Amino acid sequence: MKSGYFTFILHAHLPYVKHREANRLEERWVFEAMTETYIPLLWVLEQQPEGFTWNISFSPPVMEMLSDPVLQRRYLEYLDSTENLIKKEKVRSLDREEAKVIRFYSERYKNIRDTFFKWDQNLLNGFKHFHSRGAVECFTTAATHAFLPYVQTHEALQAQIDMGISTFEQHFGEKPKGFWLPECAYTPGIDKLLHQKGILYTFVDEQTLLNSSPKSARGIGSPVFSPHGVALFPRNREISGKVWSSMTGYPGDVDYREFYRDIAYNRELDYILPHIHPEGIRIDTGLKYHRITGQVEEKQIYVREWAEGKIKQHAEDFTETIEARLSEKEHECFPPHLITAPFDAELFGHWWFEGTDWIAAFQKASLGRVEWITPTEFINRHYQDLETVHASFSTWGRNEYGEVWLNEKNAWMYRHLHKCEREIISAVALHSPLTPVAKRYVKQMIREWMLAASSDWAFIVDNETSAQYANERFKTHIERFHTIKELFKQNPQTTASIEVFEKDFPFLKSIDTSYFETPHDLYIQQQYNQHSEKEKQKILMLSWEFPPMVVGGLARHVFDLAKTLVRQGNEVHVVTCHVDGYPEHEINQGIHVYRVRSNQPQTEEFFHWTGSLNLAIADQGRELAKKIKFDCIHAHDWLVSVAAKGLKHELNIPLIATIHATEHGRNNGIYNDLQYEINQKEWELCYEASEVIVCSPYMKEEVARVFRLPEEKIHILPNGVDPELIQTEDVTEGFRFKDPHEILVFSVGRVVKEKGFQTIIEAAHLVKQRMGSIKFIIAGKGPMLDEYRSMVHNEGLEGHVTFTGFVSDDDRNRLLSECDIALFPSLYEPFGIVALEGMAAGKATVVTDTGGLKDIIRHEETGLKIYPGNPESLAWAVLTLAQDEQLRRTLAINGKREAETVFNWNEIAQQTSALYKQCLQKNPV
Amino acid sequence: MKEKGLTLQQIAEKMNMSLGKVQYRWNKYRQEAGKVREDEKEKQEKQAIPADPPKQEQTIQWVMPYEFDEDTLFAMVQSPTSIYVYWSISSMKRKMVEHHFRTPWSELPKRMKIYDVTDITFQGHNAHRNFEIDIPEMTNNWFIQHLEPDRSYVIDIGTRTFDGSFFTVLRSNPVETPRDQSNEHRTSSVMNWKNGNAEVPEWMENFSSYSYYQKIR
Repeated sequence: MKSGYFTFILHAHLPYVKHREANRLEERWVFEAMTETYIPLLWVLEQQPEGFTWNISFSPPVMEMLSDPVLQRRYLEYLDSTENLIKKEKVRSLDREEAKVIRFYSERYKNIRDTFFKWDQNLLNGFKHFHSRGAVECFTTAATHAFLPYVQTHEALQAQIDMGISTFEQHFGEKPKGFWLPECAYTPGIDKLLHQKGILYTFVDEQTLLNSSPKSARGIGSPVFSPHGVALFPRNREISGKVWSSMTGYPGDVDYREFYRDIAYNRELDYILPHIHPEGIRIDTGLKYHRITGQVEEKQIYVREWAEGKIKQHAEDFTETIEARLSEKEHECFPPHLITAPFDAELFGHWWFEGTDWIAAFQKASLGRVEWITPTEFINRHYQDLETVHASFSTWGRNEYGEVWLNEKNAWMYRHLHKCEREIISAVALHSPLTPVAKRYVKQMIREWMLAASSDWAFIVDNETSAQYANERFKTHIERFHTIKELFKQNPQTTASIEVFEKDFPFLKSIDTSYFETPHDLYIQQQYNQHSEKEKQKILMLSWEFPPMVVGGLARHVFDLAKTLVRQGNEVHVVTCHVDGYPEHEINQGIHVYRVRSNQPQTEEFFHWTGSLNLAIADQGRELAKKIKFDCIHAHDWLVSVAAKGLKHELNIPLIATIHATEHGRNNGIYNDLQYEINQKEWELCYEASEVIVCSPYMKEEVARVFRLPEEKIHILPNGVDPELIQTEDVTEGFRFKDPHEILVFSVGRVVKEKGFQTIIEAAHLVKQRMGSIKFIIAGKGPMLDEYRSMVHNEGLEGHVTFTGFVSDDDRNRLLSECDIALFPSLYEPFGIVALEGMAAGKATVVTDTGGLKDIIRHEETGLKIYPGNPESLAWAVLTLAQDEQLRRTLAINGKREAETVFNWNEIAQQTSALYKQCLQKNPV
Repeated sequence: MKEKGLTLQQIAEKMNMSLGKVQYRWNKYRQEAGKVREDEKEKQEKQAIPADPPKQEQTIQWVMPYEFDEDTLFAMVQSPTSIYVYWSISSMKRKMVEHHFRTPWSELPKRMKIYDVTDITFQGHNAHRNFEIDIPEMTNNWFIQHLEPDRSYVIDIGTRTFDGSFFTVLRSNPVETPRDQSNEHRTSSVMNWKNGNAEVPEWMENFSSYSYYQKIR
């Protein structure tokens, strides 16, 4: 015997073609496979010499059909009919040679019937018997033979693999050691699941190993381990081609039986009618009297003895080929050379009539010459010699990859299959925990998907024979799937409506729904059922800025408002922009914050950057709404207007918009295309919103004018100030920024023109002349900083006016604590939150009579107002306050009270919340 | 013609139209037909004086649509040099894109952008290479050809902005084209994984978990 091994693998598979009604043509596929392949394979096993083992995989549809009592009964009818036909043929035939063939069939069908009864009409019993004696190793494949690389979700992949394995367990009483990848279609990641399920080996085509990374040293002479530890056995194409190729292989021999000459097609219709389809459609009877003869129309009668001679000859030829290959590779020893020859089982007997006899003859011929081994045994002996490689996607189909199952003819199928996968997961998530009734619906949905997912349909459509049946079957299952899904949506309390579906396709009694229960969905279901209180108002808040992303005052505003709304018993979900290093989701002070990544986060055009962000924000909003029943959307500024409008219409809930500033106001008009687009977005946001919030009467006027909004739609809700952030203390000694006798005037803000700091410099002369002990400190950085500093220097105001540049929060609070007067001389200011901070710190506050500032302070009650850009006016206010300590104190106390009441977040959040309610009443959902 | 038993492909050839177009029209027709059938059913039910209220489930008549109203862009590998993608864009998203550009959907150019993202975490701008193709109207799937083996790709469906740059509407899952010959590309990552030096494999594994609430935490 040569060193080295041969492993022989068969894969038995048919799509599930059992129909409730009798006489479906496709059921014949099963009967033919039983008659011509599965039963003759049992004959091979019966006469098999000691020491031989091989493998056969049974797909779950085949197992289910072979063990189905209805099909078993129909098979007997089929056998009866064929045997009756043989009887009629015996009488009819006048030709001696033909009579011989008929006698051959007569004998053969008697044996077929005997074998069928021997195993109690369930052929699996026969294979189980030989499996337990080690004569054959049975294994299985995916539940409905889905083309696994084209399954979309991990859940569905797991269902296909696991339910295949568990069906095998039910029929064979043990777990399979191997797994047949439908169409030898491998892709990285499948091996992980196979390994988890205890699968030791599977089969791939030879180029899977030839193209591996790293290159497998033995080529196709040895299996390799996949990265997750499943042994991949490579099909030896050249060797197996000798067997399956109809052109160059054995089956095309002139003395073998001709497949395409069934007597069904040349008998009188009346005569043959009882043995074909009742509607008179001529279909194969299985009785074929001719041999291949050659490339001629006129076929000669089949001579069994000649065929038997060829079987022996071909068995010897094959043995010699294997021997020759093994001698060539004799030098390989760790591990010894292995030839792997996997085939579709139905090739033997059905397509190649003599194939099963050939297997038996080949066994006899190879006795003592070629060692047969199973993959399990090979791994046991040689696992330590196997390499591990990365194998990429490949199949045994035309051109080695996916084109048979994915091309212009059948690609449309996958959209539907994937949709089913996701719909099952969704249905389970929405209804979990599943009641027994609910489970029945989900199970049938899984069945319909599985039956549609069978790789056969795509294959047949590609092949174009029986394409109509394949298309119909596919569509039937998809349409049934969605019909069941719709029925299930109505929350059925009984199983009445599902039963008819179950009866039509009872494939796989025990379907496990748990593959589609994802831990995450279960978690969300529990989490939100527990915590979601019905009476809570739920707000979906959209803002591009949110801490830690702070560009202007918007982030602070949204954070404080959301925080206060939560404290007052609302549920607030903020969707904002992703920030590197910050979590995608967090609960910050009770606010649910989702930071989303857009698809194009580095787009140079800011306008399109916002567009991209808006798509991502809306996606997140729509996803959240699957579980959270939002009462309304609250959007801040134009940057989220696209998402706000999209979600408003998608979720059908009211939209409230806060306009913090306008493009028109910022630029004092609209002058270019970008400004025009932004202005449009602002207008659209205001138009779409049921209510618009602005922060000051000034802004109300501006918004009403620029966007032509009706006044009653606009609500003034000021900005608030959070006293906790203004950590001031009473400083009476140990001043850091002034001498005790000095009067300190403090201002803070970005050093830009519109903040009006230049007015301070201009006024400082006037002040200095009247009172030398007044000192101005301006904190903040900005483009005008250097220019202002040199102005101070040039005008000899050093020591009187100081621009500190950037200051820390601590220093800023200290300055606020030490100062006597807070001064905000802005030229343009939509709101002016800094002025509020001055008031909240308990300081006499001076502001310009402009923008939002003028609405914050009541002159001579809660502070002083001055004319914008007017040094005399500024000097007057500062001097007045410096000289009148009593006035300073009164304004400070009043200002602080105002800040803590009118500009208090509790107050503002309550009014906002009231506005939401009002909105809901106006727009009942 | 369908009633005469012609396949869509044959009809397409006869009418000199693309298969996609015929498919689209056929599906549209079937949807309409489905609606009509339902309407008729309803009418009949209304006209007849129902002794028993009609069972609700009888009215469910689901017809396979051309596509679904959802955002999907899924890529599948066909061969070392070709990828198949199919997509559908939800009406919400279409409207948002219309809103952003203030242009009707039908007037927006439809484009596809293919990124080579081999061995990188793709953030939208860091691909090794990319190229764009125009896609015809009424198209919801495409075979992308002439790709390179053993590379990872991501595909975007989108449109062109006024200044000519690409604007992404949907992004696909990443996919890896298979090798068509052996190489050493994965040698070290296979070793790392085998020896327990990597927490997750450094190559792509094709199946990701889907959950209904996947964006809710």
